[in-house]
Amino acid sequence: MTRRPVLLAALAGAAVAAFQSLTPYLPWGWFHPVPMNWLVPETAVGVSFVAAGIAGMVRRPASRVGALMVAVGLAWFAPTVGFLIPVGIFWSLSINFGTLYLVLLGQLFVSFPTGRLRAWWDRGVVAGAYAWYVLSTVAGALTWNPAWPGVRPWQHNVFYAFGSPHLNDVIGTVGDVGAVVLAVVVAGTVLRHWLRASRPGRRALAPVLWATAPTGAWVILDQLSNRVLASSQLDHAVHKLGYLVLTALPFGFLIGLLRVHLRRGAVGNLVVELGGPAGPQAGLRQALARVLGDPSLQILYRVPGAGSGEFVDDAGHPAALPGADAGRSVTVLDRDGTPIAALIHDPALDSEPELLESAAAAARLAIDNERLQAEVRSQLREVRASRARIVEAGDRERRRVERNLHDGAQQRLVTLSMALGMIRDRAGGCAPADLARDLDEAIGELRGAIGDLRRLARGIHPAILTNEGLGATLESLAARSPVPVLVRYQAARCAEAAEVTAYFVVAEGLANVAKHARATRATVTVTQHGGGIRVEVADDGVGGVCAEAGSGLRGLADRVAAIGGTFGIQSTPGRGTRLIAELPGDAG
Amino acid sequence: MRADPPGEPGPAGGTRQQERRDGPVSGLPEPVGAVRPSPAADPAERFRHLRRGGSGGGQDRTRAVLAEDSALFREGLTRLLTDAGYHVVATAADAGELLLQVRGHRPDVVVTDIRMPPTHTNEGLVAALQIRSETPDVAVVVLSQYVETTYAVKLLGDNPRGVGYLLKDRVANSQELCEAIQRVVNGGSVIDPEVVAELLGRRRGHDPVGELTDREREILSLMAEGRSNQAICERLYLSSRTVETHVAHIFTKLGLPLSTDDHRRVLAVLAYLRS
Repeated sequence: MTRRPVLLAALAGAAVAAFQSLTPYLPWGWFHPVPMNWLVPETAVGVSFVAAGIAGMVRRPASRVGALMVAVGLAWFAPTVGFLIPVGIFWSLSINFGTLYLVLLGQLFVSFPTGRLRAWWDRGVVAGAYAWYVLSTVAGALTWNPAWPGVRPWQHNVFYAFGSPHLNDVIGTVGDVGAVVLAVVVAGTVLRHWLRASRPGRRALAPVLWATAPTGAWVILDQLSNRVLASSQLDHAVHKLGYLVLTALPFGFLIGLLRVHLRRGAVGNLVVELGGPAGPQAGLRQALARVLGDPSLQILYRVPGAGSGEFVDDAGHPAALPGADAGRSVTVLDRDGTPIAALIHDPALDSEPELLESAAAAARLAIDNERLQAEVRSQLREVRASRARIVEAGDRERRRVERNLHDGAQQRLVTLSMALGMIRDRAGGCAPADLARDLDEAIGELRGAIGDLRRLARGIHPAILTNEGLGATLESLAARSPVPVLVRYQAARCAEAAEVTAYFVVAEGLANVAKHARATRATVTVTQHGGGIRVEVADDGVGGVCAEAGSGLRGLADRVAAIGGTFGIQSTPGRGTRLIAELPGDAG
Repeated sequence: MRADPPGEPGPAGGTRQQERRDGPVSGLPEPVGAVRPSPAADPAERFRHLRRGGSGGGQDRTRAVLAEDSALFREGLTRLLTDAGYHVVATAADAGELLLQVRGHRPDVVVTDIRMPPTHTNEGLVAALQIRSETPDVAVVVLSQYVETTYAVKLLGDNPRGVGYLLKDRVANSQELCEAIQRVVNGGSVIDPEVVAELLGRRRGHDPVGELTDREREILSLMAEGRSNQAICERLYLSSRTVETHVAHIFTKLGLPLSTDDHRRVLAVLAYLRS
C-alpha cells in the first residue's frame, strides 16, 4: 500500500529522465545538436528532486515532504519534456506553465518538515503562490506569442488570444515582481519557523534555513537579470547558479528530514515538559495539542474501576467518546489492555500514525506518572497516618500499663504492706524479738518494691503529664536529674501527642546529658512555635553527639517525625549538645 | 494493741491549734490521737459532739471520713484508723461520694486516695481542694502514689493549715501514718519525707542547699515536711534554742526572710526548694 506511490514516483522519474537522456538520439532530431551543457544540468535537477523525494518517502513515510520533492522534480521535468516534443500544444504548455515547480518549491519550504500546512499564515503564503502562478501564467499565455528569428513551425502559443509586446511586457513585469515578493515571503516564513522552533525543531530546520538564502537569491537574481539588467552574461551565470542550487537543494531537505523529525522532537520536549513541577494535568492537553498541531484536541480520562466506555474530562465531568459520524478520530491509550485515556483529535492526524503514537506514548507516560504519583502520595499519607496511629496506640498502651501498675500490683503491695504493718502492731510487745525484726524487714523490702514499681510506672508514662501538663512534668524531670537543669517553660498546653513527645525528647535528652555529656548544667526551653511547641534541650558538655549514635536519639527522631514534627541535633565536639524538636499542635 | 499513737502536738505545739480552734477543749491537755477539736462556728455540731462525747466514755475521738476505691484497702485502712483510736464515720469509693459524706458528716479529717474512678488520676486531689474551699475546718490528708511536688504544692495552696500530702506507702507504718494525720488534724501541714527528699536532692546551678551542714539539711527537710520548731526539737533531741539557731542559719544561707509563722515557713521553704 505504502509502496505504490514510491514505485509510481520512481517509475515516472525514471521514464522522464530516460526520455530526456535519450533526446539526442530520438528519430525526429529537431534539436540538433542538443546542447549537453543544458540537457545534463536540466536532467540532474529533476533526478535529484525525484531521488531525494523517493528517499524521503521511504524513510519518513509520515511526512509529505518526500512526495512534495517528487512532485517538484516531476514539475521540473514537465516543461523540458514538453519542450522536446515537437507538437504545438506540448510546446505551448511547457513554455507557458513551466514555473509550477517554483510554486511547489515554495510549498516545500513552507511546509517542511511535515509537508503539511497547519498555520493560517503558511496556508496563506502557499495559497498566494498558487494565485500568483495561475494569474501570471494564464495572463501570459493569453497575451504572448513567440516572435524571435528561426522559430520552428510548432513553436507557437496555442493559447494566444490577443495582446501586444507592451501588454506582454507589463504582465511579465508584474509576474516577476510577484515572484520576488513571494521568494522574500517564503524565506521570511522559513525564518519565522526557525525562530519559533524548539531545539530539536531547529536542528531539523537548519539545512532548509541555509538553503533558503541561495534559493531566494537565485529566484531574485533570475528575475533581475531577465528584466532589469538584461545582461546575457549575467543571465548565463545566474542559470548556472540556478542549476547548482536546485540540484543541491533536495539533499538539504532530505538531510533535514532524516536528521531529526521535528514533531517527534517536540514529543521529546513534551515528555520533558510534562515531567515538570506543574504536573501533567495542568498542561497535558495544551502541550499535546501544540505538538500534534491540533488545537481541537481533547483528552478524556477513564475513571479507575468504571466501565470501559466511561470517560471524564479534565474537570471530572462525564464525557462520551464521539461517534463514528462526528468527524473526529479517537485514539485510546491503554495500559495492559485496559483503557486509561482517550485522545479525541482531527482525523487528519490519522495519516501520521507514528507522530500520534509518539505523542500518545508521551501522554500515557504522563498520565501513568501522575497516577503513580497520586498513588505514592496517597500511600505516603496512609503510612504517615498509620505511623501516627501506631505511636498514639503505643502511648495509649503505656498509659494503660501505667494505670494497671498503679491500680493493680502497686495497690496490692500497698495493701499487703498495710496488713503486715498491722500484724506487727498487733504482735506488739508479746511477739518474739526476731519475729518483729523479720516483719520489719519484710515491710522494708515491700516498700522498696513499691518504690521500684512507682519509678517503673513513672518511666512508662508520667501520670502528672495528663493532669498538670508539660511544664510541671518537665520540672519534675529536672528535679530528678543529677545534672542541674534550668527549665524555661513559655508555652500554653497543646495536643497530648505533642506533649507526650516533648516529654520523651526531654527525658531522653536529660538522660543522655547525665550519662554522656559530662555537663555542669543543662537548660530545657519550651516555647510556642506556630500552632505547636518548640522544645530545646541544651547542655555545656563535651558535645560530638551524632544523630545515628544512639538508638535513643534515632527513636526520638522517628517519634517526632511520626506526629509530623522535626527533630535536629547540634553537637560540636567541646561545645555542648542541643536537641531541638518542633512539634505541631494539631498532632500531625 | 496500741490505742494512742504518739502525736507531736501537745499543748506546747498548740499555738496554731488555738488560732484555728478556740473551742472549750483546745486548751486542755488531751490524749494524743483523741483530739476532738470542736468546730468553731456551728453550735449544733458542738452540741452533737458534746452529747456523743458523753456516750463515748468521756473521750472524744477524732472523726474521719475515708475515700478509697479499693474495698480491701478501704477496709484495712478503716481498721487501722479505728485501732488507732479514730472514729471512721463514713467511707467513700469515689470523689463524688466523698464530697457528699464530708458535707453530711463534717468530719475532723478526711483521708483520701488521690487515684479514684473514673479517670484514676488525681480525682482525690481535686476533691481535697474542693473540701478545703468548702469546709476549711476539715483537715485533709491525701494519700498519693506519686512522688510529685507539684501535687503537694497544689494541695497546700497558699494556706497549708490542716493539709497533708503523704505517700500511700506510709500505711505500712500505722504509727507514722497516724502521727502525720494527727499533725494535720491539729492544723499542721505534712509533706511526705520522700517528696521533700527529692526536693532537697535536686541539683541546682548555684546551690546554697549544698552549703548547709548535715544537721541543717536535716532541719530544713523537717521544716519542709511541715514540722514546727517544737516538733523538730523533740525529734532530734535538741534544745529549742539550738533549733532556732540552726533555722536562723539556714534562712540566712538560703537568703530567705526569717518567718516565725510555721505555715508561712513551709510555703517559703517549699517555694525555695522548687525554684
